[in-house]
Amino acid sequence: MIRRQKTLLTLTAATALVLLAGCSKPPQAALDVMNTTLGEAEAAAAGEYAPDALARAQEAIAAVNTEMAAQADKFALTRSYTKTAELAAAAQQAAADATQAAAAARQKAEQDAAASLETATAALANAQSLIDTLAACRRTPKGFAADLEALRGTLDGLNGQLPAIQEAIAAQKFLSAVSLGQALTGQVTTLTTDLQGAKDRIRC
Amino acid sequence: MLAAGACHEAPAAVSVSQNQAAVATAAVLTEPPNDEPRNDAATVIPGSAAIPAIPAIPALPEPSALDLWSIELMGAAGDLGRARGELATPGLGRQEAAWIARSAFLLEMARRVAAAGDLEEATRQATLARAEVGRVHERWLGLHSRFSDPEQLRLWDRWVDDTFSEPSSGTVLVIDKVNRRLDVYRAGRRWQSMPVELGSSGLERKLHIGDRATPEGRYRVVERRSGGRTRYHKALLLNYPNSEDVARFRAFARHSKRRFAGPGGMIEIHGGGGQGRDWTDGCVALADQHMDRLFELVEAGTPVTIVGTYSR
Repeated sequence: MIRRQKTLLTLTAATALVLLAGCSKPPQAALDVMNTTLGEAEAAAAGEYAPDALARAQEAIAAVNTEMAAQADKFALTRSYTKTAELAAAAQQAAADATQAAAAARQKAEQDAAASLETATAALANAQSLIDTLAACRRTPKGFAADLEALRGTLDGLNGQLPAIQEAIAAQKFLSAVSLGQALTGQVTTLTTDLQGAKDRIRC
Repeated sequence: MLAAGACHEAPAAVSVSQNQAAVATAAVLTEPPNDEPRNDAATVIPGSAAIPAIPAIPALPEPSALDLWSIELMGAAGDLGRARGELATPGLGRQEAAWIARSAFLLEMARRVAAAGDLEEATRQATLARAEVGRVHERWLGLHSRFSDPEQLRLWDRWVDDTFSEPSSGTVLVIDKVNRRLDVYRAGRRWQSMPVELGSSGLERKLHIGDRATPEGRYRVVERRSGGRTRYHKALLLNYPNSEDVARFRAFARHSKRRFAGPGGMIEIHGGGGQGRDWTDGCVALADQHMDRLFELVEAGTPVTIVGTYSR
């Protein structure tokens, strides 16, 4: 009697173990949410605006995949996806953080791009004003008119770059627009320095 | 008075420089086919001593993206420096300065892109910068090659000499295009010099209507204009085109794919100058005060010889 009870107990325990092992499947829902969230981060241009946060999310997803592969290599009865689920949740959070960071950085870049365009436009207007002042000078040295024409040409060339910034903003390439604006402002500043120097030299 | 053709046309298009990247390509030495004798030790020609074998030169590796960027960056910086120097020479001005500014901007952007790690895009932008600034050099070459040609210089000197041997009232005008100068001669001696401005393509020799070039040749004043008869203060109308100009135009028109109405006309020496740049449609412009002085010295029939430059 006691022997039969022991056998029955062993069989019951084995069956429970098999059933338990049979229930240990990859946490598909968590993985799906993780992948969807990563897709959202990429769609939010996290690669451009929050590359570090995106890299962290991708590393977290790589850890999930490593853990999945490690479990897949195990005997079916000993697999456990508890850690996988935890890692997937962390990766999903990292992807969500990347999305949020990208949105914030994009918004800031958009504002920076607009400011950059404004700064460049103002710098160009200032240079134009200095040229106009110089052109109106009564006493100018010999060869000044030719120099002034060259300076006007330089301003023409720089003015011709403004549409590139506007186009970058229209195409929502805000970081590119910021870079273009900074470069243009730098060039205009050099021109303005030359103009101011000329103005001081001829006491205009 | 405007010369034939609009005075405010857009500047003539200049072909974009084909100045491409000077890319160092690897020299690949090909091995001879297996069935040919190899020159491993020495080649012996009958009746001669053995020629030592030439050691094989190892193939150079393909240039890296960093190599290409460095080459293009240095090239663009050098081209920009050259163009800035060329800009100071007569005949180049506002348009060329604009090209230089655009090129400098492109190069700055290329540097930024390189700093961000995209050397391929940086190299592409530097190539664009070189192409832009290459237009300045092309313009400079186009303007100056004629002015150092000994044959051309002799021809211009001869025109000037012939002008002085002609019977005239004593006043002769010689316009030196390169030096942007109008010399007034009286009794064979230079009496006054006045700064002038030319057509916006003034250093080129006028060929056809609308080319904005200033003609070169021997002409005469055919009419003095003042008051309401000119837009530019006072004017001296020349007898352009002369028979040589017409012949040159006809020869050009025969071989040109485009059709032009003629060699142009209404070339004047007029006021409205002093702008510090070449801006007319081919006429020669003086500041109004200089025009006033010149107007008093010149009458219909006064010889006017326009040359690239001259040595008298």
